[in-house]
Amino acid sequence: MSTSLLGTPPPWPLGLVTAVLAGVLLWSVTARLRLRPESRAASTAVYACCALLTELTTPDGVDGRATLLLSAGGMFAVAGTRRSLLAALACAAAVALAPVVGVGVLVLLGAMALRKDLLIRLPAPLRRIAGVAAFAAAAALAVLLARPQDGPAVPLGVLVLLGACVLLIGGVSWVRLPWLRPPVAAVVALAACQFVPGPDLDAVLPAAAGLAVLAAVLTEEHHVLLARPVLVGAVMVGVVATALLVPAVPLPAATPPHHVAEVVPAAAPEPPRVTAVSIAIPRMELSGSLDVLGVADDGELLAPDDPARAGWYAGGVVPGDVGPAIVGGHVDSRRGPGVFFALRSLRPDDVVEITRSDGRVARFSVTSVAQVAKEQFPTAAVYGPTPRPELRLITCGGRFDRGARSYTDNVVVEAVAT
Amino acid sequence: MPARHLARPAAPRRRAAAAGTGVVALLLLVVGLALAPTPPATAADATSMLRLGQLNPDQGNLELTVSSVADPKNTVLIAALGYGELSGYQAVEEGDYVVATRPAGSSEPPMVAKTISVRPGTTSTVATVGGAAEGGITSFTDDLTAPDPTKARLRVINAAPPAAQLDVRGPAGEQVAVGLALGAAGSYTTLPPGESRLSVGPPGAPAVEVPVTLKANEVSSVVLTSGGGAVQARVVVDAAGSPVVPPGPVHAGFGGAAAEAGAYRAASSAVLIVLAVSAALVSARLARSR
Repeated sequence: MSTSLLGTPPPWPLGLVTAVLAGVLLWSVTARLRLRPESRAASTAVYACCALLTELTTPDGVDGRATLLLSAGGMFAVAGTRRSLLAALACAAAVALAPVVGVGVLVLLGAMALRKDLLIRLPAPLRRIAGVAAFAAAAALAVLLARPQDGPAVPLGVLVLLGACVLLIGGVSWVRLPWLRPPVAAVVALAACQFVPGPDLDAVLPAAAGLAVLAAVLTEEHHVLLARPVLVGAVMVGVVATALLVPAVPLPAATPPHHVAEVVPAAAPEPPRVTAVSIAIPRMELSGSLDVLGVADDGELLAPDDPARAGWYAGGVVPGDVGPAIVGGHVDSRRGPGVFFALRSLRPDDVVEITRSDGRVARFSVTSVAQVAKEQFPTAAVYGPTPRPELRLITCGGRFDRGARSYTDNVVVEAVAT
Repeated sequence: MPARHLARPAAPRRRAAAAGTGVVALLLLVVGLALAPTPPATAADATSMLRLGQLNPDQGNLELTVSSVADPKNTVLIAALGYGELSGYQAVEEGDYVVATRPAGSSEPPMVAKTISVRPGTTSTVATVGGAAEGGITSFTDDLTAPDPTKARLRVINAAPPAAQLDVRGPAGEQVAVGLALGAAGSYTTLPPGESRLSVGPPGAPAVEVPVTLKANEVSSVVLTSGGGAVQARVVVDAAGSPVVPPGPVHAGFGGAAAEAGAYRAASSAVLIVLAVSAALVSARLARSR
């Protein structure tokens, strides 16, 4: 959601409300398509399950704004040809909100062009070229949005559910219902974006909504899928099983281990001062280079940019010198555990080693591990004077406050030089 | 469960109520287990700290050792120090200790100089001094109380003969020590950090200025020594803090592995089960009613 052109994502209650409103609009869309109530109930259930899974398993929750706009576009589209301009406007607004939705829209336009549903006055070769160009643009947009350092955009369970639905619906409809191909292609493209690392959660709900409507349409056409209680039951069991299988802690993003030897900078002539270069905590099987941490405009200590790396507060004490050296790291990213995820599992006498730029290795022994409320952060104990070289490792802990997008507590590990 | 009601409306209410209570209890148990916090591990903080100093201008480099009275072979602290030097702090257990000295590099057995008693949670400096102290050794109690983080806190240790007493003033005329006897430590005072000059001189006599560098959020001992007929100041760090203290906590998490994921999962699973089963039943009823 961070790629939105219109700024930061909405607070999660607003995201949830828009997702629910999008569901209501989808119900109206299926009504305008003159689908039967049982198909509409089933399609809304599929959509609601996807929305709930996303809401409950991601830190930011769902963002239904783009889906709401796309559903509105769908309403206009099924209402009649005169409204196609409104539908296009709604789709454009959705793309502005969530660029990844553009992948699905471009694929839809390309597929429609190839099927003679679009640009009907153009000669066939030109129309085909336009269609292929739309596909290429969709692929380019997907590549542009990919952030390979991040893991998959959504939890494994939602991916499995979406993938299975896509295969089922796409596979059944492709041969028997040629007119359904463009929307199927668009939804497949959108759902595939979940497998590309990076482009956030924006595509989950649009894909789920599209799948839900397609499923309902398919039910009307075939009378074999979803309309039968046994089949509906089977799908629902699958949904529940997926929900139970969703990992509580998503798998960590695959990040290359940081090797100490490679990142030690060549000895600069007369370095201004000694810095901390790398950290090793055998108990946590952690070994990596250290970023340099600074402070924000209001003076607060900033955490590292990269959740997979820890950082040393350069405005403080050099590890190994008398005083408390500060090292901070993220407990998690948006996708999974961060570099200091296991920090709270440290116990007294565990060893922490910091390599300095002068080649010295400062060795520390943990004396305490404490979880403290952020409102009562022990500034004096963390930054105050100590008679020996000491070390403070800081990360987040406690409950994640979704409204504030922040944890309620800090985990502070104190260690002294040995 | 509602699904059960829908499926068998004729089922006895008591059974349904019992089942409902059981399900609610189970849910509460799951949620409770998921939310149960793990107690943080902490260590008791009654460590005693000890360091050594060589402040006797009549001795050269000395090796000082501190050994347990109960177990003389147990040497807890050993330091080779020149005149005016202090060692780093070492954590020691409470108890009685023997302080012994010998010239650095010599092989003769250390000469017992003084017996000291270390009480829990104290910080002290044991140093050789000139003058009339027992065995030529004295013990200072160090106060490592943190200063205002933007200030430097210091005291003066007078090891600079020949004057019997010294007055020390800060750059703006602040009284740092008045009539400080040779071999004694003054009380702590607070000065602004940075490059600074202390005025040092016997009471009533003209003072000389000695340069010192003080750091913010740091407690230090300024050791005055004499050499070449002049007074020199050596700033020894007693305790150092972060020179710049960021206010408030650290925000180091995005919630992707939030602790309540377990509780959310339990709740979401329950909601999804209810939703899915009711949707299936409604769908089936509607289909049948046609």
